[in-house]
Amino acid sequence: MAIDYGAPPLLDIAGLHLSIPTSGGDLRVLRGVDYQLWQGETLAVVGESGSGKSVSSLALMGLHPRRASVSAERMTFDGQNILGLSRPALRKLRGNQMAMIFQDPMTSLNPVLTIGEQLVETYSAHGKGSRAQATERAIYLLERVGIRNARERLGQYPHQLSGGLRQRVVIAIALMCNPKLIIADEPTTALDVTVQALILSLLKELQEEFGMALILISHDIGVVSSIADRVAIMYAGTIVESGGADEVIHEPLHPYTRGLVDCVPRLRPGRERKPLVTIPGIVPSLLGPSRGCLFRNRCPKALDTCAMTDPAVQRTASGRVFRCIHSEAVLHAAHTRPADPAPVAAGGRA
Amino acid sequence: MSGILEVQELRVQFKVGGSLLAKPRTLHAINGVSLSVARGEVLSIVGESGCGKSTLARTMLGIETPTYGRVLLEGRPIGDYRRADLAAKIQPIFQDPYSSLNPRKTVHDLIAMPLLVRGGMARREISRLVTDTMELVGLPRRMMHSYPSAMSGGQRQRVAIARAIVTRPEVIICDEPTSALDVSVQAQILNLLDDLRRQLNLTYIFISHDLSVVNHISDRVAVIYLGRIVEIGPVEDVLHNPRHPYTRRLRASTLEPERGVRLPKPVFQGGFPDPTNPPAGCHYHPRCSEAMPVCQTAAPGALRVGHSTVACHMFTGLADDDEDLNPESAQIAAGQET
Repeated sequence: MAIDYGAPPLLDIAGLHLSIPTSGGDLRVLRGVDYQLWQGETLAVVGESGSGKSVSSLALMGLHPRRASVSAERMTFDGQNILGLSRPALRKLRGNQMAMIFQDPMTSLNPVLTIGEQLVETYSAHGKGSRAQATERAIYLLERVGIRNARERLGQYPHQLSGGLRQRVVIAIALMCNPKLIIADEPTTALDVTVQALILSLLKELQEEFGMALILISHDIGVVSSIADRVAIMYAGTIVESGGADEVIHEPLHPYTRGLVDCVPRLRPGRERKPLVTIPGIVPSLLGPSRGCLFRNRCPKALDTCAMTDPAVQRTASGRVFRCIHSEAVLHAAHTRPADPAPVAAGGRA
Repeated sequence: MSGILEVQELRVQFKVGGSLLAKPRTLHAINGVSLSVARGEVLSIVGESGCGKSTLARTMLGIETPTYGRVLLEGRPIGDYRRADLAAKIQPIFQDPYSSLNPRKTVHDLIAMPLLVRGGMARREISRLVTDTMELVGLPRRMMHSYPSAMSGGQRQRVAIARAIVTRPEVIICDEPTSALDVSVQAQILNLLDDLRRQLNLTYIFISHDLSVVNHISDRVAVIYLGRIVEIGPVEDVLHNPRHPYTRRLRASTLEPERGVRLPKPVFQGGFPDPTNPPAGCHYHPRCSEAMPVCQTAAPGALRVGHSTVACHMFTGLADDDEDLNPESAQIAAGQET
């Protein structure tokens, strides 16, 4: 399905802040997150632990911790303002218009309910139809996600299924109410690689069939580059770079993106056993307000001024967005150094 | 020449599910594995969850007892070593530094533990060795009296590595040492492991499910499916010219951040088989796209193909003639006759 970027976005978030009060002060987990998502599009949110990639999605579903305070300039879903929506109103949206797939199907499924009950529950809770209709849809979706003997499976408990099958059940539950948006938080991290590839292909296929928008939260650049249309790279509560997946991953502008892409070992033949590129230092503390770029202490391109002013949000001609004191030209020149290993054609790929 | 670590026709079985009315079933975690690791080499063991790779690691460490076959360290069965002597020669690094370190002990005490187990060392000597080792793994001295809860995942894994090398062992068994870490930290830990191997002339058995990491760190790779080795050989062959259909499938399922890499076509098929009731013949045949009638009845022997050894009927008759010259193929073959 072609994505219509001329249409209003399905999801529009601007200036999202979230902080959690702690005994040591406010933990500012999100420090101004902006993104938009269109119908039928896949956006990957990439970052390391503590970057805020999961929290930003939880916040838009109203699933963040209750003591956290959330503010935003704009937060709309399908034209409706969802900021400050009451909990019952949010409950009407969740599972219905937007659904979530979590990392570990062992913990996201209820162990004492049959999978049939868990599938039907979502449908009935949103008043979509009778129990019989719900059961029919459950069987259809289980078959659609590649589970054979779906009718018999309805009476089984999660522990009777393998990890891959459980994650397919979770996907089927997410699809029960035909949502407009699915948020998948590391949906394949707990799975084996052969199963991971199956689940991702399945998600992609279902997305095209049902025309949903998909937010994929992941730390795995390989997964992201195989499935995403656009990518947003998060660091310390902000999106430091976003744009088309191929451009961001293969021609990164922000020094953090560059480091993240370079430090992943590759499955290329003829390796030279060189040390891997690393990002020195550790993630900064998110306590309290900050000034300047939060990546500056680990950044190979940092200047003295990086500590003084917040990096400006810049937009390139091709619609990429990045937060850095340096211009696109400077970053581009810095990254295309001759020492870069030439990409090897994917030889030996069976 | 025999290797520093030899695994010979190893079988490890567990009894599971026994009750008053039900007879316990036998789980064949390791079902005839033979391999040899040379001093200073990095051998990776790859496979999916439940294939037996962690049981193999635990047996090499002497934690599990072989049902049949044996593990030799420097020519001696590991069962013949005293516990303290074994601990001085072979040490583990586990996946999750959050659960493998006792939260109530300081960094100093955690790293000193293997030395205390071995005994016969003065306190001052122990402290000196702990400080030296902390420096080797890049932990600042001021962390000596910290607790694991005050440390990041990368620092904790450095503590686990320091603890593993403090007795200056010969062999380290690394069981998924970076899979719980962020990618930028993973790069630091992989570089550290590579440096230490060179400095201390260590031998690694590296267990992983991540082929890109395996490609980076190892000399040779063994691919395990349901307790049997299906392919073993140099990295260049096993990962870049895979022969066994299972290895090829693993390779194709690995998603690389390269331009034009797309998801493989989804193939719905039976999941991982039940290890208490493995399929007859070749264990992989129910999932194999190349399966022939013979695969359902006879377990394939090990065949020498190029520099690798492959257990697959596809190569019968096509294999190199010098298979008898390869001790490993003879070992695998012997291991698979019941």
